[in-house]
Amino acid sequence: MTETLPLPPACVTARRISKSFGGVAALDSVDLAPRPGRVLGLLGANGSGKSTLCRIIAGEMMSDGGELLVDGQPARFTTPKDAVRRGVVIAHQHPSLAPDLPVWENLFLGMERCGRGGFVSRAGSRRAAWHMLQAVGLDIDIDQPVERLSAAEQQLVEIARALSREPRLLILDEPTAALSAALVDRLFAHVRALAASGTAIIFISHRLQEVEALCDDLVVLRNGRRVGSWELDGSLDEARVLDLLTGDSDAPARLTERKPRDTQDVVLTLEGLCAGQALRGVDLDLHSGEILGIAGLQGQGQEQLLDTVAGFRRKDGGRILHRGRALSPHRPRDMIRRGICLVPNDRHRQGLFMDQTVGENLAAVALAMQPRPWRLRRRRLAEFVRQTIPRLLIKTRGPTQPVATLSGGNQQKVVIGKWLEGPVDVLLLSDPTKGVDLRARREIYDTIGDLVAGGSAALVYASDIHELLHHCDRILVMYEGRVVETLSGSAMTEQRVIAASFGRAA
Amino acid sequence: MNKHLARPLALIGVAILLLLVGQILMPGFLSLGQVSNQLKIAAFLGIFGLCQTIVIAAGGQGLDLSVGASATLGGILGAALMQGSNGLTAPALLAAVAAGGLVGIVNGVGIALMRVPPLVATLAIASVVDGGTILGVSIVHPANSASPLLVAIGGWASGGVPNIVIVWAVLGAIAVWLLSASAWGKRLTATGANPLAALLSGNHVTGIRIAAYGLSGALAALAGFLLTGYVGQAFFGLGDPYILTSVVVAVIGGATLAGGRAPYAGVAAAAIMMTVLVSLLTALAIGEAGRQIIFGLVLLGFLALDRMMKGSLRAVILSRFRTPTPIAAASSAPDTSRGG
Repeated sequence: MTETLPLPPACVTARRISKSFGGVAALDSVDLAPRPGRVLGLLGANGSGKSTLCRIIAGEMMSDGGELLVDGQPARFTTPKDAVRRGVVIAHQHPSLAPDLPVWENLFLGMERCGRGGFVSRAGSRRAAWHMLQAVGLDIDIDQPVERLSAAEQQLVEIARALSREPRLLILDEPTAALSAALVDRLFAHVRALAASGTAIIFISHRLQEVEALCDDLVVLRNGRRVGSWELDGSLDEARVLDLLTGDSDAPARLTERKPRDTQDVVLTLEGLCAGQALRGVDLDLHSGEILGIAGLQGQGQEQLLDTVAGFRRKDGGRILHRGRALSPHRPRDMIRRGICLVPNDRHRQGLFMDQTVGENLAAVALAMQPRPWRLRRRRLAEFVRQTIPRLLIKTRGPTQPVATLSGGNQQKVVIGKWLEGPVDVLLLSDPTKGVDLRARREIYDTIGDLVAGGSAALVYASDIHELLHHCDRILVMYEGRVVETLSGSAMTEQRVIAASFGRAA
Repeated sequence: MNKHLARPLALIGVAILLLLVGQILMPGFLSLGQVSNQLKIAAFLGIFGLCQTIVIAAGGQGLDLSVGASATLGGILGAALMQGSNGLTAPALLAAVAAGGLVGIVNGVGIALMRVPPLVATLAIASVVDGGTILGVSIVHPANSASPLLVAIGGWASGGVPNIVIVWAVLGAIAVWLLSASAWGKRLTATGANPLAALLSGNHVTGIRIAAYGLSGALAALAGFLLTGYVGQAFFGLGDPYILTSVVVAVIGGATLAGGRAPYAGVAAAAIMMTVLVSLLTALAIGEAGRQIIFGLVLLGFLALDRMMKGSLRAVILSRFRTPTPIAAASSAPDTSRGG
């Protein structure tokens, strides 16, 4: 190794890595050299190969071509454990936790701390677990099963587990997708401290401002190729990045301005809606032709609000009025009959049948709601699937492709598309663009826009404020289970939303 | 289509192979009478296999260990009501099937509404039903013989084909249509594959699960009723030999215990294959112990083969022109935990 380099040599280097799935190249001869003490931002649209590259480096997959070097020596990781042993640890975007086990056991899964006689040292593990979680700013009961945690808390448990393995190279795959702004700040402080102590870090995010805030180096991938890389010094040339990400500068990343709509008819009214601890009396009016955004910090009741309106969660009090009629749903089916449809928060667990094909997933609602459960209306369903795929610009080889092999954005389009066979009057979307690239994000909002233009309405919760500011006609801000602010027109600014998110009027 | 037919055809192929082996070792094994006799036995196993196929497809670790109890109840209740008379056979059949359906619905309510694990719920109900049947018989001392009509349906043949095989063929065709080609079947497999997504897509998940167990109970009682005709009389423990064998044929036939698949053609073929295997072992005078061992090994072998074939198939799909070796454990681990 040359000692004249201004930067310390990379501890783990990926050289000319290639990988293909079913004949489609996911990575084409990509180099990556994260350096100790620095945070490397990895940017790319979904399907650009970021996750594949990281999984190869972390030993979860093997490349078809190219090699990994550890301290300059070729290394071969055949299992994640090999990689962990050499100091390479990954924290996944979708936490890989055991849902039934308590938090503290999850933290040591596969790396149990054993005392005398090979028994798990319970007290020591629990104490260590508490410290690990404190480090990432998570103050929760470590004995509760992981499945009771929110998405954000699970993400932090996943990150805490990765940190506990004292990595030399830490890969964070969209760690902030489910986190609120405050938690992101806390995480970033921790990551910076870790980098300062000499750890190399790879950071994947779809949020440019986060990359700008955290990263020292930047690598942009597009369609499995490395299309750009440079050092950042605290600022990011957004136009250049967007050009590299999308590959065509004709399609701007910004949404075209939406026309103001007729907002006379009220489609949906909530009066003092309560559900458990999460909703403590929510009032709102949703108008025909409107996209109404719900903002707020993570876990202020936004997800529960949509779940309750969709009939997925039981309401304890208050009223839901749809077109003037009070509804008390027992299950989602009751609301779907009236055209109130939910695009759920967790695509994989709640939205999709992962073992089934694109066509089967698109037909799921039509099958569930057809009045007689006997005859399969094959031709009608096939026709619906055939029309929906191009209508939502779903990138797929065809209806028979397994839905699990689609990228995140295209999977989300399938979840939206399955509602379109029946009438949609209120579309509820719970963080619809989580883990979705910029282009697919715009296409999803275009679809929502087309839908509401026909007289229905959309209620959207998104964890990204900018997304709401771009796409919504009005924004509600939730804080501790209530709506604390309604913003529209020129009042819809980031400052006003953030101020209200912390329970303060601007 | 090819994909759906591969397993049933392979299983039938194995059955034919076993028949040929039997013929070589013992001339006469492949005679028409012998084959039709085996189909008769397979028909009962096949109906019990259908019970398991349905509840396994409904997901949530679905399993029905009360099929034996429901069958015994169906047989004894049916015999008691028909009192050996042809005229009362049809009403007795309806009553038996309704009783089995009721047992199944109780199972379903316990499992879908009260969230008792299927293994425990159906085992407990089986115990209650068995006890209740004994109690009823000891108080009433009912008739226990099958009517001549039922004996004809269960034991005789028309034109060389056993009547019970015709019944099974009709039932099987309806089952394949219901499970694979009807909207209800799609709802059932959707519920099994991902109950949350099924609920949010508008399925009445609880209702579907209760119906699945109800159907299983009704079919088990029907099988017990027919079995009474085959044997000539109802007796206690009539359905017990089928409790675990029905699970075995469902699994060999391609039902995955995680739910979401209802491949009845494969299960029916597995029922035939297992029947031929057992009869070959019996004919070879291999004792009960030897049969048990071979039975277990076959089950293990089929499951292993299944895994291997799926694994290699995935490898072929993933690498159209190069030969990477995906690490099965690593690439599937995050997915499974995510699903849970």
